[in-house]
Amino acid sequence: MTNNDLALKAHLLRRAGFGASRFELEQISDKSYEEIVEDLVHPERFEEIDEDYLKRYNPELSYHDGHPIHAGRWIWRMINTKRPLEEKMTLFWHHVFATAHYKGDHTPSTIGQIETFRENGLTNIKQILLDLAKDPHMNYWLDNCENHSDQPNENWGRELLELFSMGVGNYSEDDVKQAARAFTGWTFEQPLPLYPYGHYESKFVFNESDHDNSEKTFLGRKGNLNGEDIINIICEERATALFICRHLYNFFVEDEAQVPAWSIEPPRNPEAVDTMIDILMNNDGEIRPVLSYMFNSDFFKNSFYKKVKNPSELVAGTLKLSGRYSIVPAEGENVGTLYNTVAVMGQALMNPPTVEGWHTGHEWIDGGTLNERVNFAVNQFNDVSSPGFKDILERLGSVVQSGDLVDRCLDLIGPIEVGEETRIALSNYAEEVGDVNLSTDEDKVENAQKIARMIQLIVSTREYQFA
Amino acid sequence: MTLPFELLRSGYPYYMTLGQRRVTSNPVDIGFGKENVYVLTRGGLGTEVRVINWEDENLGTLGGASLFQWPAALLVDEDENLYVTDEANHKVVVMDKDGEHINTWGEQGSEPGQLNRPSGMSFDAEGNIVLSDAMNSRIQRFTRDGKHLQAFGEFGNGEGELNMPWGLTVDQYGDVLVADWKNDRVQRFSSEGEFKSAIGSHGIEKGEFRRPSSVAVDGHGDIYVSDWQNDRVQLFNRDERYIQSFHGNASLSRSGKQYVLSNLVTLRLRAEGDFEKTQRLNAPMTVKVDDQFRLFITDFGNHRIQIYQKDAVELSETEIAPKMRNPILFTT
Repeated sequence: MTNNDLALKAHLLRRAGFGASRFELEQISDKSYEEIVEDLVHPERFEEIDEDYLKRYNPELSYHDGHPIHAGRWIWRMINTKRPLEEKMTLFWHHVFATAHYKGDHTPSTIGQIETFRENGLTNIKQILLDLAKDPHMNYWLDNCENHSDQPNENWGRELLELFSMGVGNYSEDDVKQAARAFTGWTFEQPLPLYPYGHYESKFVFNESDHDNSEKTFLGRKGNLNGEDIINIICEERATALFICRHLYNFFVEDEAQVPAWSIEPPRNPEAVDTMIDILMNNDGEIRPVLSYMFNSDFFKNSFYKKVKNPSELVAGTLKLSGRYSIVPAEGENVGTLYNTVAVMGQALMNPPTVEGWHTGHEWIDGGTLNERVNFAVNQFNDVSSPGFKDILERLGSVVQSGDLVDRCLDLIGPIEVGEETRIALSNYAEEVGDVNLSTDEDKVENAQKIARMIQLIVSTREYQFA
Repeated sequence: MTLPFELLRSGYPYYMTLGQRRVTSNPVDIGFGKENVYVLTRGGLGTEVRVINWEDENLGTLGGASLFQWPAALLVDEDENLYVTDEANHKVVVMDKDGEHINTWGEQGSEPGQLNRPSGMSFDAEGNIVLSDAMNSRIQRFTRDGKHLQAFGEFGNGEGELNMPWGLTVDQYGDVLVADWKNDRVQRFSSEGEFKSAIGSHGIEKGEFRRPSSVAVDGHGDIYVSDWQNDRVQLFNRDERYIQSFHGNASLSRSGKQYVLSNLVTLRLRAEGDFEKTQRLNAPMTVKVDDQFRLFITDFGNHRIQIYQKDAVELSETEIAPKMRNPILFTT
């Protein structure tokens, strides 16, 4: 594997997953880039993650009483899964179909929606929208449980068109009203109360007696349309394909303008998005072919560092490097704390701020969140006994010449490319440290902090904030 | 105690429910004093020993973060001192019934007498403590003040080998029955640590397990296994033949009933919901039986204790026909 190959594969795994340790990169060294893409879009080729150890040492995962620990479990999956794109697509759909816990405060439904995205995230846009329409968490979030035949509620119908499929400007106000009528009676089973024994799950219910069975006209199609008909019609529209593909491009390739500006701001790379649209429509809404094309494209391969890492990417990726929160929880590790870690960086998983979701790109960064991001990354390398750091130390060999220290560490942390200004700063530190002797265990103990300090400087650079 | 020749199994009528969310939240184990019931809890809603009584009254808490971090099992001795294993700190913590700290023993390691995530515990007939040394994949025996007496078992999936054992119990013959968690079976060892037999394998069918977490044996030699990931407790007779499963049959506890009756919305939601769900077990962590043949299940995911009363008639050899060599269809 040449260094260029390594860097390209690392780039792919940062985007299609949550980064990779050097050990993980070595495990795929005999596979071509194209083979890795195929593996990524076919997660079923790899074993499902074993959650037994996690549940044994975080027993509260066995009940659904508060979402933070389940959000933490999700980050733990991002770190440890052998199916990184499955988790990445789960995060993608959560980002697009933003649904917050705070309204329903019903954890089984909150995590149920995430499980649904995990199951259907790589399937077909029709299936994904249909599952979404039947999801109790979404149903309550956008009030479709209050959408009655004699008293329609348009909230779900409107957001389905505006924020979840076609985008503003591609449908009329009357289409919203007709869509709402088609979804009357789509509701959910009343869950049991929290007290005295905790939450219980709900499920989709179609209440025939509360459904408007009269004729409707939606986007020019006439008939006794129901919710599934609406979704089928939506998925035939190029506007929907554009909406989905622009989201994919924004999430995986290059930071775009924020979603509300899309009706006035063209895509950064219209040719790429047009091709993705054609692939999506020619494959009847299947997601995998679009992803395969995108990851294998030149525009993707040339998109190094064109995205600011979202907080989940930053946290999961850094923990993969430090080796913490691995399959068997270490003493005292509580995955629930990971929720707070990403929340203070502006991405409270399972609790997006509004139905519009998170603003991305440079909007992840402000004075407060940058501080949190840098401190978190640096703190992961305070402990020189962490498995990830020890692995880096071993790989550095017996003696690291001062002049090599920057490049060797940049290589093992990514590989990461840095600008001239950053390189000068790192080199100044390397010069100050001098040659580092790691020949014996005693030498490693004595000099580990010098290496740890270099790693901490690297993860606090501007470049480390980008994927 | 002599075991009966055979049993007429009448059944296990539901006896009562103890506790509710915010009282016995996330219960992992249970122990009994002269008047009080001690419930060890671990999780986001509290990590402590919760004290209640048979009237289901909340009498407060003992222990907590100052004494233990990842509590896994609870024993109560005849003086009503409480022993708690702490998996995070590799120790056994001892306190009295008022929560006063008496002793802490154990140190991390893999040498004989050292511990790596101690989990399930049981007293033996001499009052010593037998415990699962989970990450060392072995069983160890200690005096109550921590003097090491015995160790047996090693990592693996062969006979007598263990993979992260969790709950265990010592039966009236001194045999040690271990929930061999990651191997999805229960193993029986002699008091000397010799392998005697194994029950179960991985699966969801009768007699199979998904991560068994606890085992108990009653005065008839019946064996109860909490089949944690299958949300059930399975019963085997003393010959280790599958008898039945408990999936949960809970009614409201006294405190739970009081809560529901005082909240109009909760009453309405309960009336609208799927009632059957309210009865079932969710991640049962521990099973225990007492000398009155009551079965206690810490229904972890539902924040309560489900209790069943065994109803059986003990039979002598002359009160039942001899065992048959072959089955018959003529059964009347």
